[in-house]
Amino acid sequence: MQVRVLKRRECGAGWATDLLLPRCLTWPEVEKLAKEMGGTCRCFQGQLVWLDLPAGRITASLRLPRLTMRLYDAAVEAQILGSLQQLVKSGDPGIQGS
Amino acid sequence: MFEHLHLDRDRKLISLFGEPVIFHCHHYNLFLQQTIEDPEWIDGVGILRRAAQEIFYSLLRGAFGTLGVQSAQERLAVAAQIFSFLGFGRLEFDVTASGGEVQLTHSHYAEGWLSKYGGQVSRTRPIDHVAVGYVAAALDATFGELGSYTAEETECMAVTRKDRCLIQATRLPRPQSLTPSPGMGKVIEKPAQLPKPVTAVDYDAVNEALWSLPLVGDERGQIRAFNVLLTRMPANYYNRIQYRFLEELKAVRAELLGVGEDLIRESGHVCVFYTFGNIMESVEWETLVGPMLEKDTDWIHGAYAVASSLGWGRWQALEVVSGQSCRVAIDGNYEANYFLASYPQADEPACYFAQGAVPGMMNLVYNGNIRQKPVLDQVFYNRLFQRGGLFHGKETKAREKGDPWCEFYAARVSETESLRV
Repeated sequence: MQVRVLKRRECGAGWATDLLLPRCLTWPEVEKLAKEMGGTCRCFQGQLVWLDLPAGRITASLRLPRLTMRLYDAAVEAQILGSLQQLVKSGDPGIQGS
Repeated sequence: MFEHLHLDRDRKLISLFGEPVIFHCHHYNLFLQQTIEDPEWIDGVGILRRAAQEIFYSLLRGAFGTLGVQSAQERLAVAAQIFSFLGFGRLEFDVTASGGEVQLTHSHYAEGWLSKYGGQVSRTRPIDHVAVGYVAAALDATFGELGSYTAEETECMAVTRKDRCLIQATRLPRPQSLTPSPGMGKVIEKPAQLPKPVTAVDYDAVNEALWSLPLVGDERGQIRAFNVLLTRMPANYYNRIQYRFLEELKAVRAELLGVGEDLIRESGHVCVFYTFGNIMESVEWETLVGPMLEKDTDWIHGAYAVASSLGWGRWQALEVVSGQSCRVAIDGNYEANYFLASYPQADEPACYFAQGAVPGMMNLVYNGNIRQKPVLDQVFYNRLFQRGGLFHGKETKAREKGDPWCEFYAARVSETESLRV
């Protein structure tokens, strides 16, 4: 199953893109993604995740397969989409995160 | 700056350096501003700029005192930092005690306007009245006293489509007479004992979850969350512009006062439609509030739990009848806090924003079917309000009239009948 773009909306000078993932991300996966993209990540209430990049913020959930990218750079957005595709295609998230 | 926010958990109010601050989005900010700016027979732009200068002066004086900043350079740096923290964009001051030029980039109002309308229409007048008032306030608080400076936007990116705005500040020969903010206003002594709502939504848990999010301006001075551009605006700016707008309207064209009141109510409707619509379609809502939503009526409760987290006071749905009606209490509404500190007791209910917001929430959930995640645009908004069976509302108890709290009732009304409370 692929990562699906659900909706793309303008938001100020940037835009917001909602994604539907085949499964929920795990916290170690979010940390890995942040490291790859040169960003930082924070988790709230053990469920809501903010991944802050120089190009904007990604909001994700650890309990729902949903994610919203609010970025200023289309190239970074495409790169993240690619990384997410790889991430969710790869094996057991539990093994990955260990 | 985040550490300087003061959270009053009992009253569900948030303040920054003594000024109550509340979240609203660019859709609401633009609609309310346009409502006040458009009528040619009043000085709408003057109302907006003066209010910004007055309210932000109070906030900045509080900031400079608390932070102990003395030099002009430090004060202007703090003023720029607060402007960005609140989500209005970025300011660069090139000024002395006699005035000067200020560059504004990533303006909340200009970028918000371009995002919303820029593809369809051109703009000929500058839009950054809040920033203009803020710049004058910053110079007042740095070099003089309230009203010492005036400012003018000489270049606006909403007009030029360039990447910056320019504001010129000038020192006046004598300070103009302006009125500082009433600060927290007349707040409730203690929370009222409201009946516990029948819902799976835990209002306090939602509050704590949202208060834990550091919603602050990014490196562009913008707060992009819940799919909208947010600002953490001093509540008294909204209060002052809405009540002064109505006062001026009454003084100049008394027969249009009712229309003015309806427009402020409509701003509440617009706010709920866009801000809450986008919140309810966001990952934040699905993750933090979603697990508590068992029935459709819980969506209304969830929304008021969120409203209580935005610094608006203690909003609580007392009763929600699915698809039919709701009763909502607001204990210590930000409008009433200001009203009671600024005017004598009201003869008529005066929480106009809330009067529009309460039916707006029912329309969003039961007519707009927000649970289906519609695209929240102007086309959808217009279509929604052309349908029959809209919810209308009334403020049935008013703290500004002497009741212990404000209460609102909203129900479906056909075109031929009026709301029965």
